[in-house]
Amino acid sequence: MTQHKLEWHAVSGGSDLPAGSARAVTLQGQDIAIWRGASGAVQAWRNQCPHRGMRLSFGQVRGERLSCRYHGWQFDETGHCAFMPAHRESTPPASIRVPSYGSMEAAGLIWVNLEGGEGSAFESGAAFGSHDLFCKSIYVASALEPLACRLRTALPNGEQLSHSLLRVAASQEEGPPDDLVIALQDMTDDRCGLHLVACSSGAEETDRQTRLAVARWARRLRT
Amino acid sequence: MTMELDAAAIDQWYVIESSEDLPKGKARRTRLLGRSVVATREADGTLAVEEKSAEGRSLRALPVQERYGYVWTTLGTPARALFEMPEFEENGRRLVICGVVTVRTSPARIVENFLDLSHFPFVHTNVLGAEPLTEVTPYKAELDETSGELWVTDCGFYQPQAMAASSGGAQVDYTYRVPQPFSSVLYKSSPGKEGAFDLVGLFAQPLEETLCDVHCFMLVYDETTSDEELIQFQQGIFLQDRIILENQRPSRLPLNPRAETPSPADTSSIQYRRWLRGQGLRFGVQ
Repeated sequence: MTQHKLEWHAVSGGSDLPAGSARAVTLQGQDIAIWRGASGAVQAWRNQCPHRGMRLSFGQVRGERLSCRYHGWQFDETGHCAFMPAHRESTPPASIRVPSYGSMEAAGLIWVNLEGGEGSAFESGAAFGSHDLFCKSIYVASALEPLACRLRTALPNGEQLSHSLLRVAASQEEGPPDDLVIALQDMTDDRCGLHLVACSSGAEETDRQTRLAVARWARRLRT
Repeated sequence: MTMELDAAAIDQWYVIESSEDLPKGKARRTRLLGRSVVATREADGTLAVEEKSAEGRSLRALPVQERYGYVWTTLGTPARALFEMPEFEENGRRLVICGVVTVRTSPARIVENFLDLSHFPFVHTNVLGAEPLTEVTPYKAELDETSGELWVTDCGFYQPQAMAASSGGAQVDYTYRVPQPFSSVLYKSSPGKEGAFDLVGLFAQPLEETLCDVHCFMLVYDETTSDEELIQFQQGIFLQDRIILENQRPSRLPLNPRAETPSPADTSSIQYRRWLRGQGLRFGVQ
């Protein structure tokens, strides 16, 4: 069965990438640096400095720029090199640029589009509805298809929305304590991420309790 | 299966152990260029190195020599004798073997990083450099036609703590010598003797294409710092480099000039890559 392939892929919980931080994520075998500037904007780049190949996820966020850990080259939010510390007075050539991917934040998650994604619709919006409370990411040793299949069977209230999205209704039995949408991240041939999103109550303490309960329930998904 | 080795890599002398770590009656099994080798020092002091098969069978005796505090061997037939370091004959300096750091990358990435000036403020922050003093002033990197060696000269950098014995920040002069692809020696202003140079040497032993044991020594005018302090200083710096080295992509050094984007501060790296290309090196590069 051919399933419609989503262009946007969940790679991280939004709250797992605080302002001023960078980290590495893997999507379909690609090593990607995601980072969030001081203003809150998220970028997703090829995780390799064009200068000497250093992984940019080790970089330091300085305002709205990412500074490479190796030589301090600074790249602005468009990926262009804006400053080379070894040549403080000179303007870096406009040709020096980190290849970037499409990135956006929705439903409590950070999404990456490997094709760029400029202007492309966020297909998963409807599936999430009012789900926007990111609870927990867990990582398992499995390819995506068998994992989705296993979850569908293991979770009695599970419903597969697309090849990488599942909805699981709350239940007293095996189900989660809250209605969840689970976004699957196809990392490599033998590794997947699961990003669990519940509905926010609007009250901070209630949300905290929901996150804890979901995280506790989610341990079973690892095995 | 044994990989095919190119002449540029195989016809070199390599350090496989420090002399002090191979006392009488000891043997060390290690890897060199993807092959198994064993160095043995008999009870009478005789030193021998053998290449072994994957099953541990002896294949052949390899040439061996002991110099500069290290045991050297080769899997090929080097065209030149092992390079000379006349500083080892001079009086006044002290040799300190600074141990081995295993690094998961190619030997060429390791040597290129050793020749790099502009990373000091970012990788060795407040030790070998500090912002905002990040400017790299013009320096030279040239092939010495007579010796076939690469020399990087006229380097200067402000360093908060250039050496273990440094009492504060100083403008430090650097000269790098690259006598063979995976060995380099740094001559650096000595805090212990006005107008003189200390040596910091780095010998990469490629275990596999992208896995190395890096042997490091210091030959310094320094009567006050203990061996332990010197070793700790050097290892501390090298561990900072290791975080970089193991996270560069690709691990094999790209020799195509268009693969990565250098700036004028990378003259040493540009010339090092060109020099390796000229030798037809294929091991650990792409």
